[in-house]
Amino acid sequence: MQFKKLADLFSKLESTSKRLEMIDILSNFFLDIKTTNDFSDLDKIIYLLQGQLVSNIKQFPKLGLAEKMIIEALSLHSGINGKEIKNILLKEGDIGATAELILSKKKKQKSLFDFDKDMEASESSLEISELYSTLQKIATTEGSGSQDIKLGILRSLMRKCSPIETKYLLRIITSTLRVGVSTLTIIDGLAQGFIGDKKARDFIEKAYNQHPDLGDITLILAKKGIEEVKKIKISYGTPVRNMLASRVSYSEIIDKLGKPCVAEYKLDGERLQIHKMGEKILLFSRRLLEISEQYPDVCQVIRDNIKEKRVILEGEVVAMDHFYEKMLPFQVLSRRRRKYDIEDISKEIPVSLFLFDLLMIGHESYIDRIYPERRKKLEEIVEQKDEIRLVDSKHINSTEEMLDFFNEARNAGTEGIIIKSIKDDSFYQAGNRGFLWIKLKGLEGGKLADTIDVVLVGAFYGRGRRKGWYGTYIGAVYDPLNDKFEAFTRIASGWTDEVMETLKNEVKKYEVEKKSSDVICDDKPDQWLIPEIVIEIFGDEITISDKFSSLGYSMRFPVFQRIRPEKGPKDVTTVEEIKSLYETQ
Amino acid sequence: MSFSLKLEDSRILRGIIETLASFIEESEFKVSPKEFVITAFDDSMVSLLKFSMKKEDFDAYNCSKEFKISLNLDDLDKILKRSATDDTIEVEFQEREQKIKIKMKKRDSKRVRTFSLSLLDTDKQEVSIDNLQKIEYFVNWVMSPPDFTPDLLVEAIKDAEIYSDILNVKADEKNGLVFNSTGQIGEMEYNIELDDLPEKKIEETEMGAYSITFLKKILKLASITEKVEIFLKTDYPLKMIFTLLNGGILNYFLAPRVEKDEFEEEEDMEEFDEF
Repeated sequence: MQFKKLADLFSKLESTSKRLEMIDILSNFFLDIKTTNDFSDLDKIIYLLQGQLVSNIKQFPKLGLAEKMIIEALSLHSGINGKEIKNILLKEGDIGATAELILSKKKKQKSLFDFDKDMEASESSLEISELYSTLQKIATTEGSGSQDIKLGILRSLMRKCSPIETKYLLRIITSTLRVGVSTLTIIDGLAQGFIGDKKARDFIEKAYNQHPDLGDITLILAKKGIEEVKKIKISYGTPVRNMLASRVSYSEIIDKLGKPCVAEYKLDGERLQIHKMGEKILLFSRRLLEISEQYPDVCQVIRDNIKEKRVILEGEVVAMDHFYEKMLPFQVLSRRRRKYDIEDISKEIPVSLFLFDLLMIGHESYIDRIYPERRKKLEEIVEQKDEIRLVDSKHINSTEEMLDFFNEARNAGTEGIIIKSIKDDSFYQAGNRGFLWIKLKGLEGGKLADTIDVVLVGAFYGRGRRKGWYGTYIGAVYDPLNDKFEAFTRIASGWTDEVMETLKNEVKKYEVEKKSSDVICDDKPDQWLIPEIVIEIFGDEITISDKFSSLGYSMRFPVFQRIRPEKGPKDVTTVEEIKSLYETQ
Repeated sequence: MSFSLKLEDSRILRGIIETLASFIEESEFKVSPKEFVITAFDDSMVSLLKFSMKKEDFDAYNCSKEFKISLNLDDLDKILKRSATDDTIEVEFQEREQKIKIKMKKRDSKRVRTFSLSLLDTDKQEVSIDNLQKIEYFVNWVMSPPDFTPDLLVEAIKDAEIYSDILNVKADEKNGLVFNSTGQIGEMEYNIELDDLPEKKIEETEMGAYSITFLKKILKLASITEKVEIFLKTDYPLKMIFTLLNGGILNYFLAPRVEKDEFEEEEDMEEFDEF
């Protein structure tokens, strides 16, 4: 498909903020594709709609194009000098919009093609497949002189693009393509466009939760139909979306889950999804990215102590003291996030893997089995020792018992407990935050006792001792339905100098001149940020406030707890959760 | 099969390759029994160069069939920069070797330095400049020494650069040639009266705006240029024909910066409706 068609779709989608309109636009677009019966590039179209180049379980190689180079290419292409482009960029805040503005200007650098009709005819428009192969080429160009070659390739790409295509091209290149459609909206569009039935969305969503590659699913949907989509199941090598826990006021938990239920320690480590395929072990992070190389010791311990050959498990890896007795906080574990000297650091910081769920054995999916059955099987197949064990768990019959267990868990150095249903419907709900799992991290009556994850969307410069650093950040929560980040609170305390410096370096990559289009925020920070860095905060209570955004809630006395590198922007606390937290506090 | 060619003055080849390398990474060289041709355009197709030199203008030239080879210009430039002005340069190519050999020899000396450079695989389509050649111009003038050297253009560009990255050129029957540039801090004007132009044809008023970045690159050739003929037409490419020392010819086309015309805007609208 021509890139131009996709660029037109993007700009249509950007012109509305209404979800229903977006679904209509998308379903018409998909219906067109269905009619033409040409499904090449369809998967890529889906990824680009999601604001990525590849599915969320894969990573496109780094392009290595600095902003300076993109401006230089744009300058040579448009005939506008770099300084002027920078000024426009300052005002527009986005390289894509800047390019569109410059290239639609009346004064324009002509190309020699404009004077030679034969040449013009031979010049094809940009195909999506060609865009991908060209970006691939940019990514693999390395070594001396590679900058010039990359610049040349980028210019030849621009030459094939209209101003509006250039706008999206540059956003893709700078990883700032955010069309503002959520994955759920795309799924609705697919159901309506390809099947003509809104209800088909549930099957697509279910497939997506077990196989989070919407491009793959769309190809199957287009080529083979919805019946084949229904057959998409959990499989080795592809992580399923995590089942998540809700929050409820502690006094209501037992009512929600019924008696008896099971409580488990909520550990302060990193959640891992483990795919054991014979000798081959793949570990997936919470963001569903493969991180096996970070934990060679964990991989080995799984090889040696899991009796089944092929199995998918879930667990939490936690940093331990050298006697494997005391659990150490996440900050210690986070030192293992590195690319080099992994062997050395794994000796320095030993870890234990605490397993808590089982999703597949051999060919058999355990997702639709009740929790007690999953746990029982898990107990059977693990040879427990210091480095690998099952997470502590206990049957609970009353709120009192639950609170006792909570205190025990806290004394053991954990974050709290997760209470799980063991009823007849206690299946593994991939990708869902239902009420089968409920987390409890604090109890203090009446006040907020749980931490909240926010993504940073803005920053203020500090004063006095914090001069030259950001002293205050704006944190936002996520609205999955509209794919927007709503500003929630200003965070100004709780960090050490070291953390502040780390944060400042981290956010540097995401600084933008203008508010990102997916951020809703009435505050006016000194620096806007692309929502990417997630931090955990703790506060006094949720308050009613319209100070920051249309959200209507804020937080009293927010205090920074820690950076959450394992979480992506869309994994932060949601608008719904904030509302229910307000109601339950 | 093979070819070989020889130039006793290294400056020509050095100057040409240096200029080409400032425009583009790699280029195709066409060597035929009659002439040696290099065609190159920059990545954005704003400018195009065609260098050609006849067999007779070389000091030695052996070629029995047509060869097309692609070379990395940066590397070739680095090699040629190692030559001294009075070096004789010989280029040799053996088809089976997939590389060229460049020999540099001091005049009246037997010392020879030999450099080799691998060919590149290229999938670039050939560009014909026939249609650009067909554009009819009504204004042109010649700049040639001693009174009217191409250096004058270099001067005008350096003046203009203070204010802008665009050079405006205007020619009319009354005022002759006017170069000017405007910026936020002021403007400059460089006027050459009609009588001052030794060889010219100015029958119409024509003007154009051109990127200084690209003009500067091509004017690196000034030092090896015998004369340059310049063609100007409103809203059309600027065309320059450089006659180089030793008889090589370089055709250069530079696309103008223009006001967008209405036709084009309508076209854009249609594209939107279509979708």
